[in-house]
Amino acid sequence: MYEIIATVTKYALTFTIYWFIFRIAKLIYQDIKTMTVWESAKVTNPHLKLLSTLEGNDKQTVTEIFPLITGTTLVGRGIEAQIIIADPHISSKHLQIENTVNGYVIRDLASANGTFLNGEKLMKPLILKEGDEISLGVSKMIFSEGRE
Amino acid sequence: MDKFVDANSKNNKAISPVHLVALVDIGLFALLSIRTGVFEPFIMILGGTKIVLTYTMYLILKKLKMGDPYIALIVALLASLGLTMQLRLSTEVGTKQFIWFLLGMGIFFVTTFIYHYFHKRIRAIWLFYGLMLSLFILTLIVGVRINGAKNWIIIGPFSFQPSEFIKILFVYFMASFVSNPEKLEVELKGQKITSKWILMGLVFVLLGFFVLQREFGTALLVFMVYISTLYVFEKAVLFSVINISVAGAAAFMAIQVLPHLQTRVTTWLHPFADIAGKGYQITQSLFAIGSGSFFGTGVGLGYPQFIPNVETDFIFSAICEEMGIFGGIAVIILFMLLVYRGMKICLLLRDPYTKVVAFGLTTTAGFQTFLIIGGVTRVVPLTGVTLPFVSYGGSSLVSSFLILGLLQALSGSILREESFNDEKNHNKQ
Amino acid sequence: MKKTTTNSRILHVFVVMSILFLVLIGYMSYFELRGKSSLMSNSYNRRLKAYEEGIIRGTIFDRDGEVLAITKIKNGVTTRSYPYKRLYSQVIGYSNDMLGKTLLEAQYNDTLLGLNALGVVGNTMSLITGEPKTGNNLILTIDHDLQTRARELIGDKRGAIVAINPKTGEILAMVSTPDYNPNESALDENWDYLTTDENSPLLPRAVLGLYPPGSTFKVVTAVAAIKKGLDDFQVEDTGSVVIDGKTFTNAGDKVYGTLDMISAMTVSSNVYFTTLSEKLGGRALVSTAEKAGINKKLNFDIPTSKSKINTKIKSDTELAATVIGQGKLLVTPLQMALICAGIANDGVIMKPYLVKSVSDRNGEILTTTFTKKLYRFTDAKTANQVTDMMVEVVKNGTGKRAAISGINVAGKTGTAQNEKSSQGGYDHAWFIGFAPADDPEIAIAVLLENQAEDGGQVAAPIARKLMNLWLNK
Repeated sequence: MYEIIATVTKYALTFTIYWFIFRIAKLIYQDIKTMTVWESAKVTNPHLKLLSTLEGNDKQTVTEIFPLITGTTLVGRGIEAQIIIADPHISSKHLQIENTVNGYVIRDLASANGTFLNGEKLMKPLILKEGDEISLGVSKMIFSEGRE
Repeated sequence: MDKFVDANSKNNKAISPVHLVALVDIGLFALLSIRTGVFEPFIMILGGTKIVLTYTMYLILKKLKMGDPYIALIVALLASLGLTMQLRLSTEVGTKQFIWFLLGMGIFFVTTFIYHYFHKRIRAIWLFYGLMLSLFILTLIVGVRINGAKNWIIIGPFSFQPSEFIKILFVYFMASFVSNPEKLEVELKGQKITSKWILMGLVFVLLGFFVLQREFGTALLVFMVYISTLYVFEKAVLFSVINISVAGAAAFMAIQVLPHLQTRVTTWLHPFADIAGKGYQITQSLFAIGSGSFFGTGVGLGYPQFIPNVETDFIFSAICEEMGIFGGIAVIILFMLLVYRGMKICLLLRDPYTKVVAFGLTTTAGFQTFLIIGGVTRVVPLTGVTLPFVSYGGSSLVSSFLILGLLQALSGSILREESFNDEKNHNKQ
Repeated sequence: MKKTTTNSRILHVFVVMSILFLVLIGYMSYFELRGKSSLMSNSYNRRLKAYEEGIIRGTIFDRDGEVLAITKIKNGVTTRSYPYKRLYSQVIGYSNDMLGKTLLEAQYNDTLLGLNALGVVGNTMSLITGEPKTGNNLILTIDHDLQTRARELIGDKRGAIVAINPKTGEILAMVSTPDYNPNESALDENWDYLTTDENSPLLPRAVLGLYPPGSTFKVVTAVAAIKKGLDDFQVEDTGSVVIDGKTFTNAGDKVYGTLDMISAMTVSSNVYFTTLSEKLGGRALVSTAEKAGINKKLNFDIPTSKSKINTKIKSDTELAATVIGQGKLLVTPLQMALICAGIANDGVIMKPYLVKSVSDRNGEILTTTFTKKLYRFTDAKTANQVTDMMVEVVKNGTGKRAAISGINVAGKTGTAQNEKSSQGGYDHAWFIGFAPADDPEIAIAVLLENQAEDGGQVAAPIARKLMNLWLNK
């Protein structure tokens, strides 16, 4: 009797163990895309860090890094934006970041729910500084000048 | 460049790995509890405890943002495989292993919480070296010879192997060197001897101690960690080459002179020549591995007890027999994932000291695993090292969890970007 | 930048470690697929014994269902019982806890324990029904009556008898003496003697013994000669002939006068055949011998020795000796039976086999051995010509004592000199034959070591009685 159970179980166990391995490997792979050596190149230039807003995750977990390469970067829900965030609470064209001679300027594009800079609602275009926290919808981003 | 980011990540929909570990635990412990034909509730209690611990550990790590929760899960699964095989072999040994496991988990948590205190304050290279030497000398004086190697210290009912801890101290020793090599410089007769040569001398003395105690496996392991660290963190390639040559020459001579080493090599090449004597262990191991086929005979249906020392060195063969080659390969893959996670932690750290620590701990665990699995499968000669988390042994289990705790702590520090601040402060000075 | 190169070197180390692990995985896979097969049956693998303990070993039957080997359980003790004691010791061998397994018990161990593919279904079923696991049974080609009679006839002489069905290759009887009692208690008791006695009682001579075939080999010579167009070769037999300095004489120094091949075969004239050898040449002889399976490994149900002929016969005297079955020529009794069967079966030697079929515990047949052609020894015409000669041997020649009234028996006698003859010992006595000559049902080879009388006297009658028994079944 035990023999049958053990024989059947061995297949189930092997399957489950490999399922575990597969899940971990997949998580590792996804993890690579957030904090990796290869990304460090992106980090040397000015960029926006998109933070994870999932419950239970550390508030400071970076899920995505967007280099600010073009002169003007459009952030929003729609496909015309350079940085697309699928957050139903943000507008299709929500805000814009412009590389000017004075630095990177952030401007709200008359979004429905507004843009918040370091907690305060953005009323007029402002120059971004290192570590500024931009909130839109339920998403949070951090601006960074980049580092060597 | 334009990335579509879904705020509701796919992660939430797939089964979290912690449940899979629990599932395996349920399967293994339930099976074990009915193996003898009579239901043994004790084993289910152990299983239940393990599952509770696994979840607790996972949740604590996640909630308190203590870094990578997955290395702990991988270890939990490895520990499960080890625990169940030990319990299957003998309830007594299995229970002891479980107690050590609990102790190990305790040490793991303590380490993760208090690590940073040590990392910041204690970086004295001579302290580490001194500790290692004292442990060696202690072993030489009061040490007891078990299984041909004089590397056990017995205090009351407890026996422990100092070499398991020396190898961890060695990693810190190397880390201290890399971050502050100038501390090793010595003036002799007005001439400054560069730290590198001092290091080499010190290391070879250590290796000598290991060989003296017949711990060839640990000596080899420490040497591999040493060379890897040199390769990565020291610019001078020639120095590494010199080290290898000297070690190679010493090893060659040792093989000629020491019959024990010769035996190990001959048994590795021709195990069936002395199948009843020196080759008995490895041939029994091969028989076991061969009997398992790909899915194994099933837990409890094989005959791993025919292998001598099966609970310690040859536990992997037992796993291969009862859980199949796929089971053995799973163990290897799990260790590969562990090493990968460790390396990743190492890559992300910026402070050279902690970087070397992470690197050293990872390579220690990785090479050790390779040596023992290679040994029992006859890919490399058999050495006396254990399989971390799986082999029976208090010292082995505790030191493995200590390594895990330290890596976990370093991983947590990344998350809290403490090391980033460290460097910032460092740069400002 | 130093930091990047350090990191990349870390990756190097990681890659090296990954490769090491992959090597482990690779080797383990290789081991499981190929490397392990040779070592798993090592006697130190205690699992073999452990597996066995849970399984009831299968039974071995003769072709009609007579039990030849069976496992009995009494009071929890399992014993392998051989009801006919020594009769099958040189065919089935033994399966003994301490002393191991030999012959069929060894070669078919997996089948008898149900450990191979054939056994999986049955054993899985017994997991569910809770019955003890049993292996599968062997049904042999051997005929128990024939085997018993053959053993009786050989008596206490040393030698071998092989009886085979020339059309199918089934071995009908195989006896080797001396033999022994393979039952456990007897085997354990006599082990020391069995392993040290100079007569090698454990040796299955029928398949492993190598002997000079003597005059029985002349049938092979005849085949080779006919092939070369020498059928009409005639010799004036004056009782002796000198080949390259060595003198060859007939048995008993007889003089036969003018001989053609058929008459030479009938009287077994050495003079004729040695003279013929000069015309025949070594190459033709060796080539024909090899077509009959000499110098070739035979895949058989139990291990066999390879019969040997020197492929590079240089001297004429060696050639002359070889054509009459002496010289550097050694054959097993099985090989001679095959040659005989080949001539009987129109030149085709069928693959010999001992195991007719495998059945499960309920008697259901799981597999049956198919008959197969093994060697194309010669063409039908030549075979028939040689058959005619062999019929004459029995009718009018040296093989008269093999004659059976009412049917044509084909045969050839042989008296082989051996290493003992030169020291004053006796020659080996041979007889090969088959019957009925026109539609053969049985072919036999009989070998008796060191006999005072020649093959025609002492080996031929044994063959006659056995053929008679078989034909009247």
